[in-house]
Amino acid sequence: MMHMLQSALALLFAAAVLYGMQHTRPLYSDITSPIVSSGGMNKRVEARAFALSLDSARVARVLNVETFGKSKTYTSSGVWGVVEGEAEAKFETLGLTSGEWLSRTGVRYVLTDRVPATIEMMPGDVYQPGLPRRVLLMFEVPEDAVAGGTVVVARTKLLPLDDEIRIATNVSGKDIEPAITIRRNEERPPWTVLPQR
Amino acid sequence: MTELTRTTVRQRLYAFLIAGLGGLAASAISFSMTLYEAAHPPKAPVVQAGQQIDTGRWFVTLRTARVGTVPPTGVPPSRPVQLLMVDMDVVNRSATPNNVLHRVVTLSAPTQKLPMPTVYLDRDKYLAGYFNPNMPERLTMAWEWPAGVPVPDKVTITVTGQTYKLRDNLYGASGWYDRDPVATVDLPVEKAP
Amino acid sequence: MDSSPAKVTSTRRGYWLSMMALVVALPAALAAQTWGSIKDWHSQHVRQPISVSLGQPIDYAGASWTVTRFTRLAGSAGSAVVLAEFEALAADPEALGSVPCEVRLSDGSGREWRPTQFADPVVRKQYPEAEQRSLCGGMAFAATEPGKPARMAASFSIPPAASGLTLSIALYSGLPSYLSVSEPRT
Repeated sequence: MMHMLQSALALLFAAAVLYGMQHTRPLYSDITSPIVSSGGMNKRVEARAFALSLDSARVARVLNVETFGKSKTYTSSGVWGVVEGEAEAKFETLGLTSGEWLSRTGVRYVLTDRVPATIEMMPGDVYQPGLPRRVLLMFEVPEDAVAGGTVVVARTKLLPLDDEIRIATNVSGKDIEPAITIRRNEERPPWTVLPQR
Repeated sequence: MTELTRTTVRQRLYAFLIAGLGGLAASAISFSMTLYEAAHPPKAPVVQAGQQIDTGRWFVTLRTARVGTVPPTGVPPSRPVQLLMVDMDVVNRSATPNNVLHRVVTLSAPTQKLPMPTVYLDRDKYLAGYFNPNMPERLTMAWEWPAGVPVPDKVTITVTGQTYKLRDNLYGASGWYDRDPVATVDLPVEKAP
Repeated sequence: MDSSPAKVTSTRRGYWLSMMALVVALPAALAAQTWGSIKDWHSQHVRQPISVSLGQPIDYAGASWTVTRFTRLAGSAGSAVVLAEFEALAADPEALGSVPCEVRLSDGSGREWRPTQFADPVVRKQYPEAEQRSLCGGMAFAATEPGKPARMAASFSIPPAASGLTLSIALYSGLPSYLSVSEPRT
């Protein structure tokens, strides 16, 4: 009798331990999450492989893109976020292919794929060690995702445990410009954001 | 052999038998359930055009279907083709951008082997890329209709649901998984130039 | 219960024998499992440089290699441009054509640059012939006739302050050895 009770208790205990382990284990995305370095606007934020600083974050209802004398207007059900800064590789030549706008509520918006590649956005460039380079990031986000948004940049989206830089933008979501124009330049930097501010 | 060893052997035999029978019963039940489900596929409700369908990951509202030779870009392809185009409104309700709509919206009748559809963003009159979360967009999905097959007067579109799993069975990773169809929509096919 | 001393010792011996076997078998299984990874890591990270100087031919990976130019130019936008030209005379260019080739420039502080896809305008201006050369790899060997060297070039964009530059050329079939050339003193 005593023996059976003991077995039953041991079984219950094992089940409880397993249940607890099942419900407290971290998510796969947490285990493989990137190593984050954070900062604010106008500061050089250092990750292991690269550094990034952002000096301008603007929001507009309409985006005009001027390339080779042609202009195209891009409307949106939300707004356009145009972010500029400077990126530098630290030890080896690399690309920065992943850029995201992370809203305050945790929703992610990737770099727009609507704007043609003739406008050189961050993923289109190569970053050489010791040679900082201007970067341009453009996002399309709903209006309520603007305030408190964070720009997240990584070498690629696919490498787990790689480093990632998060820069909190200072946009309030209140001063939304009616339109911003991105014009392709033939010299560096290869674009101009208009109207100049 | 002594008394004690004999009892342990018998105990072990019982344990093996019980575990074996239990496992056998479990797999038999699971197998018959799968069989039953395959034999009785759930009937997706028929939804009217213009009515919003909740797939879990998306809100999809099918509008109209038409057949034509010019894609929404306005530039006819160099090789003349018949395009079956379906207009719809979508909203991505997940927390990340996504573009795998062709798995959600499929052409189910008339049964025809079709290549993957091309998706055009109405706003740009150009190829659509990612659909951002919580940003409603109107789009056109265009299937190339095989030459020599008559274009139907009516098509049936099946909308498939997707559910979010916080942990999948393999890695414990979070993701969206295809589920059963949630709705079918009949659309008359307009003949456009 | 049978507890004759002879039986107990034999059970015990069996138990300890199994334990000892485990001590040997477990590390052996682990080593066998990870051997592939260890070899991969080794081939990727352990490399042996073969030092060469400019203009001196050397046999490497089934060809005779000569680095013919290693020069620094003033590039655009405050950068420096390093242009390297080299050629390889292979007995069987076709065999080399399918071997991946890796050309890198590194400096004294451990920074490493990959060749730029398009050469800086200054290269086009000062060394128009270098523009015609292809990067190291299949293309370069495919374009050559047997008996003639494959001519290759690589240009790099680096900060002007970088010093102690070393050019490395590695063919995957020649690993772990690679060719290493130091920037000539001017």
